Amino acid sequence: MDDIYIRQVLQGNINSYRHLVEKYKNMVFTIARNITKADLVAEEVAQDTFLKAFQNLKGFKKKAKFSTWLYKIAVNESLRRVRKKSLKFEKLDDVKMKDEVLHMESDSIEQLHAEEQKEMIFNILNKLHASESLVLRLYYLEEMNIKEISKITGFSPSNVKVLLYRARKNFAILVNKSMSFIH
Amino acid sequence: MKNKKLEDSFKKMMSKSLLEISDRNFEDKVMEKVDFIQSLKQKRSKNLKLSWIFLAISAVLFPVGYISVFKSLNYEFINTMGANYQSSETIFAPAFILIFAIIILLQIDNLLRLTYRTTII
Repeated sequence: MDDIYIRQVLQGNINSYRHLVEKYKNMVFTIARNITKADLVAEEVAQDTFLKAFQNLKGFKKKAKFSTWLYKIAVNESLRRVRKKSLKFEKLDDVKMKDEVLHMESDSIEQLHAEEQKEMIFNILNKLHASESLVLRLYYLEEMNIKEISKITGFSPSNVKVLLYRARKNFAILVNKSMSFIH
Repeated sequence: MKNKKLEDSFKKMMSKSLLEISDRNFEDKVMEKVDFIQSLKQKRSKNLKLSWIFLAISAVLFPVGYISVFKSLNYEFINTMGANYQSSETIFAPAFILIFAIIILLQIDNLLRLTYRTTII
């Protein structure tokens, strides 16, 4: 579907771009908010991302998905705003990916109201390192694979795997902490 | 089995992590700017065409004009100015060609940059 809209925009039907904006605005905003940690800045980044994507649409190679390309622009624009060159990847020597079974109080969360759940998840993701929460969102929310996440974040696939493992672990720890605090 | 359950829990929780833009006019604002960029692009494309045409015209007309003006100058006029016609030709002609070539190359460079630039704002 994206391809059709892109073709129409390139043929001069600018209004077709609105469909792409509507479809991706929230995810682009989520990515920007994830990195900049500020709502207003994230909205500006989201606008800039769509404008930049529009201006460079001719250069979009259809080898990758449009969403991957767009999210990469969103990450770069966000980093530009926070004046960082790249996302941080802390290499910890003691990080060994074990096939350990994480424990998470996910059933208890289900008992909370929908709004409370949302707020709690937002707060926990906010506490995580930007790169960790970003990888979690791209992997579970957008159902992207390691290769696609690697393209968007600029991390190597093995670093994405480490980051995903660490993010899952930290997220579970924070969920358990929050739930024990509630109970 | 337990890991599968955990993965499902993550998926379920992360589905609630999508943030929404509070600005209801977000699309309108973006589209307004997109329209503006498009109009600038069209204007720029027209101006670029004109610039290339005028550059090509000046690249031909200037040397022709120079030669015709210089050749039509009276020998005596140059001599009364205290200059020798032969030496004027040997000094002015290469200097003119050099300056002219530099100006034309700089203009071509600028126009190429503008032509291949994708972003406007």
